[in-house]
Amino acid sequence: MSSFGNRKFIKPVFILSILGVILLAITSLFLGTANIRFPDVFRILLSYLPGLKGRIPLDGISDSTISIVIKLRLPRVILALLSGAGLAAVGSTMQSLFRNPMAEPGLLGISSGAGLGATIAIVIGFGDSIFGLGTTAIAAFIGALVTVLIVYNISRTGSRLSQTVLILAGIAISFMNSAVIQLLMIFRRDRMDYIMMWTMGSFSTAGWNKIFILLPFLVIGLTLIFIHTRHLNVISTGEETAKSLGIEVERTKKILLAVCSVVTAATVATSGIIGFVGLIIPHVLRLLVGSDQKSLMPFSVVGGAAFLVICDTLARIVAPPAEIPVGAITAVFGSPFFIALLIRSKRSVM
Amino acid sequence: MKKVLSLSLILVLCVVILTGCNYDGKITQENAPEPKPTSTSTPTSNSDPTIEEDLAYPMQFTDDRGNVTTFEKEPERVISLSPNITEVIYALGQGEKLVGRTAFCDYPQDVQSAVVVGDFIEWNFETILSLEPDVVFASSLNTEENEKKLKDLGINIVYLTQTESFDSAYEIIGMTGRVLNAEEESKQIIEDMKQRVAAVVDAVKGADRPSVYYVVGYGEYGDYTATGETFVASLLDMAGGDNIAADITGWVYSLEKLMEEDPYFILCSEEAKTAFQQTNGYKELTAVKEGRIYAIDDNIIVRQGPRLAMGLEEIAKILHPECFD
Amino acid sequence: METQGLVEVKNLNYAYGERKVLEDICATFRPGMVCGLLGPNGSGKTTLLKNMAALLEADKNTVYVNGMDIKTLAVSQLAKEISVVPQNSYIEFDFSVFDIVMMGRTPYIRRFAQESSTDVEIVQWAMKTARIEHLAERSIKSISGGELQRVIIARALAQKSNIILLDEPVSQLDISHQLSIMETVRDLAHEHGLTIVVVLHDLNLAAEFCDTLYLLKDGEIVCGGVPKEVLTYERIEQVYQIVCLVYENPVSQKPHIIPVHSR
Repeated sequence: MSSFGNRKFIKPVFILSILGVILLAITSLFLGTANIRFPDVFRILLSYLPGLKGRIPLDGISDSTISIVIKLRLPRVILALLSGAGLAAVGSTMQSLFRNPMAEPGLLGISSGAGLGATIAIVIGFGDSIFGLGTTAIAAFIGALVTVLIVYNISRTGSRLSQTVLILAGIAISFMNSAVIQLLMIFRRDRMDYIMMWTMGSFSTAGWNKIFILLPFLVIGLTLIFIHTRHLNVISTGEETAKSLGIEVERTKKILLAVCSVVTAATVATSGIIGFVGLIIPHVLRLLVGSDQKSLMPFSVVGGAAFLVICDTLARIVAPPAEIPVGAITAVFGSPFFIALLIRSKRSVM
Repeated sequence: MKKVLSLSLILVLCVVILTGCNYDGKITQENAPEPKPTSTSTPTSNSDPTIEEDLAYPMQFTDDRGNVTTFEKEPERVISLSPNITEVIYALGQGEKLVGRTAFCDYPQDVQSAVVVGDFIEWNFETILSLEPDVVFASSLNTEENEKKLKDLGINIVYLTQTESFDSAYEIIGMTGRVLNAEEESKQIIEDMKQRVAAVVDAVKGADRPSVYYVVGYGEYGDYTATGETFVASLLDMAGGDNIAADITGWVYSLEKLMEEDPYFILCSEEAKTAFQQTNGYKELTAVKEGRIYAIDDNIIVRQGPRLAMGLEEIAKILHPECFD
Repeated sequence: METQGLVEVKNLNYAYGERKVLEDICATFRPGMVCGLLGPNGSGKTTLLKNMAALLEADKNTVYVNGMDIKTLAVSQLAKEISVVPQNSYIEFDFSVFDIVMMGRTPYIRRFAQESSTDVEIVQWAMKTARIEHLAERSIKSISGGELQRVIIARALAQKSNIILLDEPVSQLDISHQLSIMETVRDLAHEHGLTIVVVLHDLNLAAEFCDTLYLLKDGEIVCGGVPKEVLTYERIEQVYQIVCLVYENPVSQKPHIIPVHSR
């Protein structure tokens, strides 16, 4: 792969891509169904910068316009950035951990578990919310973690985790969860639409509360992942090799699986099931920057964030006033791009 | 063609079912026909509970979820996120205030002028905000998460529960009237509806009660009907029919049971009627063979709004043509 | 440090569940020597090697490095003593050769630290010793099987351990790669003073390149010693169930085995 020769360019490219994401996020703030003039958005954003508060005149801009930019678009863009970063980092971690390019955040039944939790909450219809999160989100979080714990315990023999059993148990439990979700939908046809919309994922109800709930999970999770990138590299070349190179493989695996589960659960709980990001973003970037997690991981984080911001912006603007679930967009726009890259990389190998 | 029919059927089904569901059952409905002024409170009138006309602004309004909203003045810009409330707003003569609606709000024709802000589940918050509404009406069809988000954005939201009772329509009409400063009109509508309901009940009194089945869904999509616990069933009952699904709960039914009960009348939507009669199994039903399957506009019997009395009349006329000569 | 690298296996028993694989193995491996492990398929060679690398754990304390029980060593400490060249080195993701060899430095690099210039120097030395310097920037996916085997050997060298365990390092290579890799391995023992333990299938390669041999059958050591003592035709017949001829290689004076037919 030619990219190895460009090792020294990786840092500048990374800095450029961070700038790119920031630019993308800002651009996204200018777009939406509401027809707001660009200079107005600009003035509103400037007025909210620390130090400039109150110094930028906002006359002629209605309160609802300010609300749209600050209370709707801004939290939405931030939540999309965070979710994308988290899901892509988790996907990248799991691919290395399982030495399997098909691994993704939903692999261990996390998404389906969250879906089942949410479905039960939707069907029962609790009323209250805790910490500003709806009961659906909390049930989804619990459902995700319970599923992972079940999968984990099935595949544990002594202190060792069997890779194959872990994946198979994850798939089996996913099927079971989906089946239960479908059964519940049949019996509560009246709630079916809510369940379906939830499972497709959306940032439309993004708010600062959700951001503040997701943020700590993400910060701690990503920190732990970044601490382990070197070990992740070694594990991705084989578990026995990793052990003979002085890595406590079982412990590292457990830590990283726990991190992946919690970050995914938190993301799914706040925004629903958003597929594809965790699978293709690390994969695409692997084709571009190579498999070394020391560079792949930061690029995955940035790439995932950028991808979800783009997808969510599309979700908002392609079919106004309807909103398209962002999960549908990620697949519809992501797959052709992904397939094109696969074909290209296949050619370069042949 | 069958596909189109099936799709439209599913859409209708959604509307029907969603309209009929009870979001959280917090409100316990009494069978008192009188709309209860106690379910809302206007502090200014607390000292004298008889004062109801001439609402003075600022007015405080408590909705079915306990949201307290203070209206400084009469709301001028209104968004309705439920088709039944949209119909109420027009019936109250307040249609020109409606600036936003759902894609399902299709009656009366004039609603076309209002902007579509989403459906029951997905709302476009940007559009809602940019319409700068004074009040947004939501109902049991909407999700709590969306309501919460709207509240966080500082929008006045009035939530009107739809319970599985005919009287729920009166509640909704009364409360909408109160919010929109059209209480007189709402009282008139309710009075008129009650008279028409009484007339129907009176007309079918003493007549035979033919068995009837109301088709919500059928065939490969599963059999769904309005069972005893739904308010649609109470319409069938008031219209002098014997709902064969009266003794079960929920919405799920089965073809086998339908054939076993073999109802005298079958009611279904216009879109479903032809296909229903041609589907295996269903075409063996006596009511189908003998031509006693009737199409009826779902919207007038599932939306808890002003047209509900008309829906009742239509059903009664199908079940008891002899009583309405 | 030069004198370090003594590995002693004392009364090692190992079983996969109920099935006994190794029984009462006693063996000693000394620095500066290439020691071959021979035996038919299923005789327990690889299991013995994995026990020595603590990749499998026997119940009792049985493997000692420089007199220390390997069970008392932390994984990272052990990695500084023993490197392993596994039988199957398939790598799913494409790293550069340099990256893979640098992984040999894992036990030395602290969690938050970057690779130091010493690490880079050692990696370069390892690649030079394994004769793969020219491949440094190539992708691991684009090199041949023989080159990959050398990369893995370079990674083991980068661990700077005194002991290298190799599991059938040449079984899938052509004859020229077999010879050149075995020559490299022999140099590591004879010139760098490392302890080399190598599992081999080819009796002639073993006879040629190993200083001592252990012959295993059904989980037990049948015999150990210099090739001439171990590779007699009676013993080969007994262990492998074949009829063969044993000559003396006129060049190296080592035994040379010609299989005739199976029994």
